[in-house]
Amino acid sequence: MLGTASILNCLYILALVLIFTILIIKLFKNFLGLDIIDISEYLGGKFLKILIGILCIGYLIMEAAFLTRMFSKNLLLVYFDNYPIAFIILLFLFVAVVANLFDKKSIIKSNTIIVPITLISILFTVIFVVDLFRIERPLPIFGNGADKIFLIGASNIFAFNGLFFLFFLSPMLEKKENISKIAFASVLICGLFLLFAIAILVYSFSDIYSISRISPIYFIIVNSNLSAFLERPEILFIFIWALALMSFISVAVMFCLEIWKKLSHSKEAKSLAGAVCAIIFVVSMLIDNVFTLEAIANAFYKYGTLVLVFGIFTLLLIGANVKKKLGGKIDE
Amino acid sequence: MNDKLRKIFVIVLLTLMLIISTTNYYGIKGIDNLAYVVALGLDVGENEALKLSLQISIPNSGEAGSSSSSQSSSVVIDSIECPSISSGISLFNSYLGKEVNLSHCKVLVISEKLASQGVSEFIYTLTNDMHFRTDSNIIISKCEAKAYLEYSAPLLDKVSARYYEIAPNSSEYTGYTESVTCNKFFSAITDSFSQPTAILGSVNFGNTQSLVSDASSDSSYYTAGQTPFSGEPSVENMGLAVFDGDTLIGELNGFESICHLIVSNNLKNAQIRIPSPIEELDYIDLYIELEKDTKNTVYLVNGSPYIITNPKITAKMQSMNGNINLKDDAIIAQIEQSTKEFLEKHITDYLYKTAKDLGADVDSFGLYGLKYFSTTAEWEEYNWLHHYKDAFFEVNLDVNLRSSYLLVDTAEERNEVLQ
Repeated sequence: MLGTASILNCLYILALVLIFTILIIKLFKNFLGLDIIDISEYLGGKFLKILIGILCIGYLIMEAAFLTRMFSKNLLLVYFDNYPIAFIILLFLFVAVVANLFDKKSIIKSNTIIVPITLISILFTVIFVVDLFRIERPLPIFGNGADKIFLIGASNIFAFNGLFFLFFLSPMLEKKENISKIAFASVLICGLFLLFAIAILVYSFSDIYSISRISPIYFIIVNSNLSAFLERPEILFIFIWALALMSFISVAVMFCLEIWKKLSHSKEAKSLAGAVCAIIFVVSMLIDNVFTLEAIANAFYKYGTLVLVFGIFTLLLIGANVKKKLGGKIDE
Repeated sequence: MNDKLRKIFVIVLLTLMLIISTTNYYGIKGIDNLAYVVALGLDVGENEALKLSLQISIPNSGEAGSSSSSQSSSVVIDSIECPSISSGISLFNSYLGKEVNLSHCKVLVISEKLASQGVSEFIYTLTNDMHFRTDSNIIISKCEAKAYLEYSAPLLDKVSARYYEIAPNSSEYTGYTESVTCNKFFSAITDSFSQPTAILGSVNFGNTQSLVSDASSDSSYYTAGQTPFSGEPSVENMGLAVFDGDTLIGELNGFESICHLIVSNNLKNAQIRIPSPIEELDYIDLYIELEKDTKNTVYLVNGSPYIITNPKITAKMQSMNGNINLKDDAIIAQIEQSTKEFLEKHITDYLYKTAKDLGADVDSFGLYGLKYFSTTAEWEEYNWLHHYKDAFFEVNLDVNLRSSYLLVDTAEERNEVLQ
């Protein structure tokens, strides 16, 4: 849709997300130490709390399910042709169950190792495609037109769907006031690496506009000069991405359990990790046709994120701020 | 579940996983089940649309010792008539009793006849194949693709796959062709600012010595199959096949390939032969390389592309004779000027050949013209590839004769006597 203007659009949505983050931080100032579930309870009572909680759990389960299925499908396609996809999905979910049976600190600590490795792997690919870079490739600068970049392209803000977790971070922080630093750092790192990944594609390959592939980053690895040193360089990267996926599912399940804990007022929800993963497994296996799955997953990522994160959450925060200004008290 | 029970549960599960992961899966596919293709050939079929030829490596036979034939003993070549690549591979699976695997395929050979009918279907199909490596080289064979595979003789290499990996890289020190991979070719097919090229190959039957016109002719003016060798028939890659979209429309000889590499900034090294400006030699052999990246500029003049190319070349003198003083600045300047004039003329001729005769922008000049358009719609409406036929060129070449090799001055004693 954007053609050669992908980089321009990425910079534009990064600017939009930074503005959005400033807004969220300002709205959160009155509710430090509370997450969006607490805020929805403050605003609309138990009904709104349960409704938002269920929506959030549903969002996380769907996101984890689609991501697991898509990754497993690509993994099967590349290396395990004709193997049952359920085995691969179960392997990823099994890791998430085990990780959640331990303390959530173990998930966070393993993330501090896996996330940098994943980011370094993206940086590493640049070295091996740098000789393919042509500065002229992202021209014509406005691609398919300015309206596609700045109007329709604004919906690409959904690429920052990781902002979802920002609405749940506050109670987990030791120093609650650090939320603004964390938010800006996360958005900037995420934006820079998104820009980086797009720039690698746009500056190195010109057929990406006309050909849609299963995974652009896989395409970069396969076509990079890494194959001059390694016969199958993509194996290394698939391993890293598999680790990243396991880490993401573990985090998604962890947040599902945290939300459930709040909704049910229970002390412990770890034992439900298996149940959450079972639901993820069922959802991931619901759609058999890959083209339908891709269409539904893409629609979900886009509209689900826009409606829930950029729509409902923001409205809840605005509503709660208005209520507080009108004299509403927060229950400690 | 209490903590102790949970730990036991996790340990048992992890142990089970470790045990299962180290056991062999009954359906695992290994060297016994797969037939590894090292080269794939495509010809026009007699009864079907396609004749698919596969050069298949026989595992471990590379160590089996020498073979008297020019063909390596480590491979078998078979061909089959089929309507498409996929159906052909399926028929091969049935015929061989093993599953054909393209993950080690190093080269795709397409016959000239088939290429002139269009190759996009094959390229798209292979790009869609999970096992096919898009960094495989693509060769357009002037003879049958099957013959090309049969005569590809890894005389200096026991392993065919290794031979196919190394052979196309000869362009790095000859410049007579370019190492064109399938992904590069595929990209050029889909681009709106360039046209694809492929390696031009053929079987040289060793009876081509009559083609040598005179002693002054440069060895780089041949195309594949014309080089005056004597000996056993063998394949050679020389020149480039030029495409309009997916259809073969012409070819470039070895020297034109050097010009192409200079202009497209891909020249590593090449040897050229220029008329000598000094009386001690009739011709001078120079070993050239790019000193800096070639700077290309495109202007649009009344809707037509005006292309300026500014290559900077470094040369080393290979030819030597008595009474040559390379310390003399005047001689150096003469040789540099002669090289400049020679290369400028040939590069200009080459560029006009691509524009007027072939109408194919194989040097991706279109990339430099993109800046004049703000949207893709404007660019597509202009249609660069159509306007390239109207292009006119200016070549400003800069030559720096850096050195010779071991001899610098063969007139030193005489110069001293004269002084």
